[in-house]
Amino acid sequence: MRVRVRVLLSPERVIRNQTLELELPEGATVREVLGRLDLTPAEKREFLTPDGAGLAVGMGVLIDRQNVDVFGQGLETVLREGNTVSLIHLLSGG
Amino acid sequence: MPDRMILAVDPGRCTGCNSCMLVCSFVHDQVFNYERSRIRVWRDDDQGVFVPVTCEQCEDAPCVVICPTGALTKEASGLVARNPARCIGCNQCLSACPIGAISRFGGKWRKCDLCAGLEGVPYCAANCTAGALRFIPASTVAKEKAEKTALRRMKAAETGA
Amino acid sequence: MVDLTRGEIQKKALDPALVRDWLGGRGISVKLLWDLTEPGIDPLGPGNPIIFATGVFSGTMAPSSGRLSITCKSPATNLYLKTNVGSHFAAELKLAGYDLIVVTGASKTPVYLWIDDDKVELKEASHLWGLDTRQADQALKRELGDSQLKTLMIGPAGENLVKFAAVMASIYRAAGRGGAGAVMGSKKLKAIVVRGTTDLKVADPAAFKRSALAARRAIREDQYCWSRSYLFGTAQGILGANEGGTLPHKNFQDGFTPDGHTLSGEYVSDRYAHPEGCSACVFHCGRFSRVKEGPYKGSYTAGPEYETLASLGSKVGITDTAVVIRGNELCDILGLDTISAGSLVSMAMECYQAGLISAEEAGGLDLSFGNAETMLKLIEMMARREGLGDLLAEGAEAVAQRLGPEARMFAISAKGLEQSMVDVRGSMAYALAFALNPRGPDHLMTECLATYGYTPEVRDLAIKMTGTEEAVNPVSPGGKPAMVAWHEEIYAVSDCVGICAFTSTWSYRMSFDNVAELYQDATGIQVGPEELKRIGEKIITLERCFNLREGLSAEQLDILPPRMFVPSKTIRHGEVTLTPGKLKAMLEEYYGLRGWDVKTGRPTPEKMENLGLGQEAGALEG
Repeated sequence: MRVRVRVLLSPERVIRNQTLELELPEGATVREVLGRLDLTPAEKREFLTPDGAGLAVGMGVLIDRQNVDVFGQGLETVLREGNTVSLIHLLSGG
Repeated sequence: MPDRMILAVDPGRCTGCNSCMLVCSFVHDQVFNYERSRIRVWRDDDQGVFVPVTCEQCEDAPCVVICPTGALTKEASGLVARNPARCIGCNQCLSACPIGAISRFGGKWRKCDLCAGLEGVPYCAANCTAGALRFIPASTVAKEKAEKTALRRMKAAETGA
Repeated sequence: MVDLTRGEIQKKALDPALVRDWLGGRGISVKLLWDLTEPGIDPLGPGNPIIFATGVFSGTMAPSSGRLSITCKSPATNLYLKTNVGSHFAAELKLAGYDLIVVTGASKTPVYLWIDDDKVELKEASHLWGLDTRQADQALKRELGDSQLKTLMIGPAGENLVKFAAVMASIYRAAGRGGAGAVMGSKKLKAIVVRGTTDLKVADPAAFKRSALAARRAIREDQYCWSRSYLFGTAQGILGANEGGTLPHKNFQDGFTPDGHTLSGEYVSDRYAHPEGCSACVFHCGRFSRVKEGPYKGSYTAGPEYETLASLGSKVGITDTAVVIRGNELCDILGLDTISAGSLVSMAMECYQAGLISAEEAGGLDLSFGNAETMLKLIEMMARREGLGDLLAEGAEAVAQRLGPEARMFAISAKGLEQSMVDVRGSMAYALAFALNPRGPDHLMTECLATYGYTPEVRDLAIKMTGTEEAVNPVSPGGKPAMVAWHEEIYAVSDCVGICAFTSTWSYRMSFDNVAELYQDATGIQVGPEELKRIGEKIITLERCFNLREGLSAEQLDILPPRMFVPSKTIRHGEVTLTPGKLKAMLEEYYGLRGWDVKTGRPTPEKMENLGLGQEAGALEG
């Protein structure tokens, strides 16, 4: 299935309005999306947990504008065809 | 010459918050008063430009040269130290300093004494969260700038700019 | 005390009882406003005092302590107004030796107040009247011979009594909301200028040194909040809000702007802005922007803040940041609140779209959403009350009254104040806070950011203060009344001591505990954290009573703009998230928490007696 991912983490990616189109297997979760990002080592250090499997403090994920921690199952939230996944810095979003 | 620790001032990073002035005044005189601070931040509110000015602890300090009583001395640490006991208040240091870093207020003369604040870092630098004041080895200043320049040029070369 | 009618200045020592009972800053101000006014006075008449109050910590190295509170009756709402501004005016005023300036009456001719330590005088300002804030600031510094003075002034908008005229500190920093600038304008008070070179003492220097430096360190150690605010300023919240569908778009029709990334803090800081900081700040969330190319080349100003990027950007359908900066510059030098200014522009645009304003009435302007030149022109027209600007200058609800009932939906405004740039349909804490805010629907009495649970600590705090995990579900009403009550109190206390709300909300590093410690070290007065909280509640209560005394009921006060009850398609996929019933339920729970009459929303006489407001209770009932 096709999923859009907006990687709005580093300033460079925000300025580019970076949006990826990912082809994922049915049943894929947000966690799988994290594994498919082309983050630099420095970005991984800044935006992911040390094990690379989760997001660092202050980062969040929205699926179709809904925060997965509030309205989903966090990183285990299952994605659906056509979802837009936004990776953002949390504050007033979702 | 040894690589001295200096209070490096980067006006480009100064946000005009005046924390340094308030902290300096307080740790020396236990009251808050910009006039008592040994570092002054000059502001152009219209242009959003802020410039901290303080003693640069000159190697060949004119104030040391001019002082008739030896109240001002260049120490091994790099500090241009002021000994109040020897000061006769002739005011010559005020004019000799090309920077305007020796001030006079309320019958006292003041200059930066590189106070050993928190963990040996002068209080102003320790409390400057904008990075405009840093207590660093003198060689660091040029090295950092050069590295930034190099990175910029490397990036330009990569993108073929 | 400055009586402009008589042209008299009187210096008085601050009554220790006022300090003991009201802490300082905003607390003392609300008490003075209550005592100095009667219900029904004209906000633009000589009977409306305007009180400029430093915080107790202003002028010290307590973190981010430079805030000034300005209190009066609002010409926009005819209700209580507290507006607040950062930069350095409060610090300089304190260093000159003053805690408050109370201005009463009105001058017949333009004047400015010059405070040079113990020398205080009213000076001629006719030659400054009509100048924008940049010109007047320069003129004042030249004529007083000091480039380092701190100025507080109005621009042409204040002089023209625009309902959302701001009071500007050091040219660009605004005490924006509620039309305090018009109050100064009605008094012909162009500016207050101050130089402070006296010694500001604290009660226990050794203790204050420890507690103040520790507080500064604690804030700096909050790496997430610190880095977001230093690197991107308040604009750091734009992108997340847009992605979440809550960034006001086209007059709050919905909450997503395509290509909104160009309004983000990341984009602005990369292209236009560098940081600035208020007195003794640790965050430096302030920005200073300069446009170096393109049609708006040469524009420069402090900002743009989150509110301005939304109000003069996404809300009017504009994504070109250079335009926002130019609009911000115009608002700053003309002395206009950017939140309200943008709201009037977007309202005009939607009214035009709906055929409620004709091309002729628009004076030939194309009032389509996204028209940058139109927005910039309207800002000038409003400040100068020219053409359509004269109507818009009266505020959104006045415009709605003129244009007919259909226009009311396009006025995103309640009680006479335009709403700030949070779409409360996506956040129940903010919905409740906005309805309860005595000055009108905005976040600057509460700032319930904890509801977003952006770090584990903030999340834990939200759950602890409310007793429920629902606290961090923004669209659930669960826990929100307790959250709002807590935030009202910490914010009130922050405004008393003069610290920035970002230290006590957002990063939550300044708490009742360390404020109490700093307060004692600074003043020698022992006030425990529980007592601070209680004084916060007392302030909130008296502010509400001011409005009740004006004759309004809870039903008339605790309201939101009508559009907030119409679903937004970008919030919860267009589900209804907020209804009058849902708001009412939260309000009733809040009234109950406060110990007020749940049916009438009024503080009971017993509750008021309990808070030390017995005398005021009598005046209210009588």
